[in-house]
Amino acid sequence: MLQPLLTKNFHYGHPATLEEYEASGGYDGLRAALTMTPDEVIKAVIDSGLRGRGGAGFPTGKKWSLTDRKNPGPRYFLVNADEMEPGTFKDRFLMERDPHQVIEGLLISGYATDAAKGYIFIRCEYAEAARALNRAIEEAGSAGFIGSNILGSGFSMEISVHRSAGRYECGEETALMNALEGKRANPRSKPPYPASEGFRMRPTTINNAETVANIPHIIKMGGSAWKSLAAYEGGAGTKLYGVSGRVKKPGLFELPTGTPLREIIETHGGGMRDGYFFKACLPGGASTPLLAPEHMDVRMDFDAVSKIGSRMGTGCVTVLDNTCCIVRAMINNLLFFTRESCGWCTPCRDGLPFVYNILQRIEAGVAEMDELDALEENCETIYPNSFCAFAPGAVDPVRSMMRLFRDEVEAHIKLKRCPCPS
Amino acid sequence: MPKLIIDGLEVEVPEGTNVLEAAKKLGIVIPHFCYHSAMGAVGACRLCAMKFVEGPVKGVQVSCMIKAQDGMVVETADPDAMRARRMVIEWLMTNHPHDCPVCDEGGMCLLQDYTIAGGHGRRRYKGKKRTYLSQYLGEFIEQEMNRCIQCYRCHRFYRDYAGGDDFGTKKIANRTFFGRFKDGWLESEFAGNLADVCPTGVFTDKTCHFRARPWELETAPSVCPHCSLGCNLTPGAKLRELMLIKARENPKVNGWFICDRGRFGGGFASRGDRPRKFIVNRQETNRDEAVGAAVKLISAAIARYGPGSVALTGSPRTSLENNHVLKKLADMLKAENICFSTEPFRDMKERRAVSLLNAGSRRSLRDVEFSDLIISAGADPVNEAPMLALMMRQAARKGARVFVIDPRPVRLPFAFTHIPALPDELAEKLAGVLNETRNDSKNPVIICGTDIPGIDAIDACAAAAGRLNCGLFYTLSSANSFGAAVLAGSGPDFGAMLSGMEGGNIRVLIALESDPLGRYPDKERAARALKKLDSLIVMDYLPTDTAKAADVFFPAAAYAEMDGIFINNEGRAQGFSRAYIPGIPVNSMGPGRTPPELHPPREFFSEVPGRSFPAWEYLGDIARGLGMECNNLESLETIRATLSEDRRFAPLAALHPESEGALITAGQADRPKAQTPPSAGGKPDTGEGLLFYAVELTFGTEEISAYSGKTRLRAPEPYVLINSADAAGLGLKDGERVKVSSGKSALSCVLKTSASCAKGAAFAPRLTGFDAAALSGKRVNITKESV
Amino acid sequence: MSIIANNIFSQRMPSKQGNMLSDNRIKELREYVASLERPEEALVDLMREAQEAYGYLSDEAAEKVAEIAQVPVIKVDELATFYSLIFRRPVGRKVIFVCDSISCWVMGMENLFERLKARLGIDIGETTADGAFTLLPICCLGACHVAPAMLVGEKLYGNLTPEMIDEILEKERV
Ligand SMILES: Cc1cc2nc3c(=O)[nH]c(=O)nc-3n(C[C@H](O)[C@H](O)[C@H](O)COP(=O)(O)O)c2cc1C
Ligand code: SF4
Ligand code: FES
Repeated sequence: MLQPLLTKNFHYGHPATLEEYEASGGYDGLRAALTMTPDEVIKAVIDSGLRGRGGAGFPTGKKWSLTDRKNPGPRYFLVNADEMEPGTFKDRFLMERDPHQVIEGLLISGYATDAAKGYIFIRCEYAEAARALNRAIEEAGSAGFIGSNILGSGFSMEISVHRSAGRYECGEETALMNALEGKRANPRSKPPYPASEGFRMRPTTINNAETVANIPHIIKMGGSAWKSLAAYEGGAGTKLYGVSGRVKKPGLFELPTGTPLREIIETHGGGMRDGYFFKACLPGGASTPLLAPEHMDVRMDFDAVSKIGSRMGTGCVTVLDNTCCIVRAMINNLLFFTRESCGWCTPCRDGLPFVYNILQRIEAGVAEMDELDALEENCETIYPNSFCAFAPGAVDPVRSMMRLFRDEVEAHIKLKRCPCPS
Repeated sequence: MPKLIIDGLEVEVPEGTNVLEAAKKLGIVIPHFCYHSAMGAVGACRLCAMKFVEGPVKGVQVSCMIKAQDGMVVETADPDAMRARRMVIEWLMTNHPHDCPVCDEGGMCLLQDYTIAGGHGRRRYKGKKRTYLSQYLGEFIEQEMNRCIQCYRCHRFYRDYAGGDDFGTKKIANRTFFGRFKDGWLESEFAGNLADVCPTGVFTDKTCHFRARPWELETAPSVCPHCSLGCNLTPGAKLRELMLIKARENPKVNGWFICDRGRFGGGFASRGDRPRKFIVNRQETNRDEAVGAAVKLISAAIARYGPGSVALTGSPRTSLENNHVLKKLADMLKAENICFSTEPFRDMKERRAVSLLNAGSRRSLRDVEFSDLIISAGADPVNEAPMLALMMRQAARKGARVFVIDPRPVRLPFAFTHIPALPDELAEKLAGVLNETRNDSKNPVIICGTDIPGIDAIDACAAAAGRLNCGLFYTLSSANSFGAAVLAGSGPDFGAMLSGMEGGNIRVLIALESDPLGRYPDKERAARALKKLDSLIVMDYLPTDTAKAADVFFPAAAYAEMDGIFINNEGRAQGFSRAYIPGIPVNSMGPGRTPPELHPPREFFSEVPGRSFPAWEYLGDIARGLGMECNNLESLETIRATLSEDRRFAPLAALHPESEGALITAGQADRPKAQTPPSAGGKPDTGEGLLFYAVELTFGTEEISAYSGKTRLRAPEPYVLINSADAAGLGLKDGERVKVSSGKSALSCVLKTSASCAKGAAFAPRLTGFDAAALSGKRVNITKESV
Repeated sequence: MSIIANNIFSQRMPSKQGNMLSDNRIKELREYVASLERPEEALVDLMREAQEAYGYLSDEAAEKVAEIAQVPVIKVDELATFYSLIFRRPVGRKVIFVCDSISCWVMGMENLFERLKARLGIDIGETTADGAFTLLPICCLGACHVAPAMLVGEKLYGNLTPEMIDEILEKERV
């Protein structure tokens, strides 16, 4: 059985206090990191093979090494705790149960990238998490972990929590920087990349909250030891996997990276509720293409899931059962995306409502067969032509529906009604 | 310079050019909405997709966001790229109303053009269209948000380019809205450009709403007559009414935009009370009779009193050709009393400034945008030369430092350093700022006004610019102040002519588009002096006091109604062309407004009713009537040929209306002496009270646009502005009604106070019906007005 | 110390004077904003506080925020209308946010809406006549493990069934 790392203080049921956190080896990672050079810290993270937990899986060590550290500063490190991807509920737990872990991770990350200031960008609805973090920041500050000349190392860093006001696009990294600057959260064009011109047009590194929470463990264990926690050759570390939907024990589980989907759903999630069958799942949030029963044995790892035409995303699986109409599921998804589109670019702003409308017509049994062409043409054109990754994420599941469930979609049109049991 | 291949054609473009522009250079114009040369690329509309086949970037990409690089091979007609462009149009059309037949943009709408170009003809989207409630944005700009395609150009122009802060982007997703916090007039002096930058009909020119289709308008390349900058524009007239004015690009002058004074200032041309009749002794007559009368009066005066008895005033607001022909007439008459302005002190300062500009120091309006240090002395850009403020803002956005030395609380649409200083102190403060800043600047420019600064400040700016290798930029009063000043040289000013009239030596005054009764600062003196004349001959298109007093009156053509040349403040001569033939607008002859004797029965004219002609034609007629040999005044070509005989005007030979203009240098030979005593105004006397200055405003003070009903809407109530501490000292409060007096003259107006106004001075705008000019340069007392 | 100062907004500061930001509080906020390098960065926090004080971000509240932050009011409005949790129109004393994203949809959130609409007698987006509740949908609350879920004010309710709605409304109605 795996020793829990990220979740080891979750059993308290309240935000672990500084005392509780330190009792479990808390801030040892920071102490160790401060005796290393920033390059050594980055090397350890590269060795660990850690890939970003925000959804795209970019190698974290590589990202850090791209940060422009020659620039005279100030530099910033941002923690992305916006967590608004539907189906995802992992960062919430990290912040509500063990806020110090995120803070320690941020401090080490800031040290490695020579950041003067760290921000934790948290979604509005996570009021409790924000309170937990702020309390932890005060504790850590009084204990000398935050502020100037941390633990006598000469390294100084401040940390703030920014509580947002609700919009999914704020999670997109450049939009997040705009949001933090008090601007509308439209994404920015790249280049320039945040590594050279990010928040306040200064070099900025940004990682997901879970990514950052892993850092203290990587430093404490050493990069390669951490890496070997993975479930298979080539994977790295542990991962928070979530299961929700029509399963017996929905929840969040820390498992070796690469744990098969079947094990996550059936063993940890307790399998389907009685009377229901597995129909499909979104493997890692509403923007990840659907997986069907035939994909159950995929290892939940970035590369493996990509190989079968989907994405691991956030690793929080939403399970759809046999009573779920796949078209209605996509309508639900598109409702979210059309509502949340930041309105900057045409494909997303005006294309997604088009997709949404066709899906509604299909579901209502009023669509004609040729509207499927319009549907596909919309999706195939929106996907590569939008400004940021939002719109591709919005249509990708629909594209997967057309690949995996075309019969069911066509049945709606032929029968002029929904063929699913309601 | 990167080289790339687009559709099989090689093109080389300057570093940093985007691929969309590179294709344009080859004549391949790919549709785009959000990209705009002035505002750059933001990649929002996603319309300009092309396929990148070889090179550092691959696949279908929006070309505005990609910088041209060596080795790129690009296909614009690739099927994927075409599909992307077609779908963008289809998406935009999902919400667009089908109101083209009643939309003012119809016929000049990019969405209309591209929809047809892209072949989108069948509606596949079956959902409802999104609808908005539009806002009331004042009387200049109409908003119809349902037509919005969210290209963000309006926001980027208004906020980013023009620095306005009362307009922005609201809401999100496909409900994104562009507007104000609440209904109300757009505050920026550049708001009218929204009508130009908006590619569809969301923002349109409200002043001619529903009254013309673009293809009905008679247009021609033209130049703005409303200040000395000479911004390029395109006036459009329908049925002899000047209706719609749009900005025209000139990369050396205004770039792409114009100010609202230029855009909405055209109402003077179609005023109901515009003088359109030939008048002799208060009686309506025809052109020949009027010429005959003028000839008789002039020759009688010369016969009796000699050529010195005829005086001529040209004008800084009329064309170079008109003024030149006036001068020719004076030469032929051997009349030495000729000047080209009726405001002597400003005239002298402008002539001086113009003579101080040289090829090395002068900067174009656009050059200001590329300066890294701007020091402005005694100028109020937004009010005196609005587009200058916009160029200064662009410089500031690129990091330029801007210092404004001026006694007024100058307002600019960006952050700058204001140094309040009285006109007397300008030179000294300028030296101070230069000392501190000059060393670390590569491309500095000194801007100098010619309204409130004295000759010493004007000289000091030129001297500093010469010594330090700075650019020099004077703002002048009118569209052709430069041309007028060159023609005037060291000749007499209008003050001298008034003395001549007062002494009985001058018996006839020919006023070419000039209004001594309305513009000479001491109106009473002018009125007394002009009364002593035997005859007053006036040519104008404005119903001025002088026009009304004329013994012989010729209705003249205005700028959009004739060909001509203005020389702007830089010395850039720019040609403008006739857009339409002037005459009584058909709309003011239409039903309900038709004079009863005309309808019914209807009469049909073979001539344009109320037709006016360019003043140079009348002047030529008079010369011929006087028996002068003047074949070379027959046409504009021959007039220009005689102009070019003057070496200074030689560059005009190469001029054509759509060029960037030709640069004229005044030369120092004719420079009016610095010690020329101003015949009026001049250095203020010492003594008690606040120093009073009449000043310009964007709306309401400039001579021509003051006759436009549209711009008058934005003119404020008369006011006097003083420093808050001075006000407190006088026991006065902001907003109070006060009396401003000096000797016998007094003004009644509202008091405004500002902490950033220089102490010891008072300012009031030269608004119509408010004789601020009368007190200019004097010391005044300000007291609470007793009710 | 600066850390604490920077976090002042993360603590909720109940307003002192009835429904408005008190003069004292405004003074305090103005000083805080003046100490910032970029006052705009405080806008979201200021809007949230003003919203708490006024119940929603009324025109007056937006103008007050602009004045405190020394920015043109359009900048406040641009943000206020961008974010989903800043209300430019009046809402009830408590807002019921029902998650309408995918996991809650699977678990029957549509039934919750039906129940809420019936019990409150309002449609989505409306406020009850007594001003107690406004009913709104919200994006995934990050509570999928207890789907279907909803927030009443800031309180999270999970594993909901239509039957539980009545009891919760009873408890939350104040
Ligand atoms: C529309 C959109 C929303 C996103 N939302 C989040 C989010 O809520 N949390 C997050 O960590 N990453 C989010 N991301 C991904 C971030 O842009 C970014 O890739 C991530 O924060 C990088 O962190 P990582 O390298 O640790 O994964 C989002 C991306 C997009 C396009
Ligand atoms: S795809 Fe376009 S509209 Fe959608 S969120 Fe990104 S930038 Fe905004
Ligand atoms: S012009 Fe290129 S994306 Fe709009």
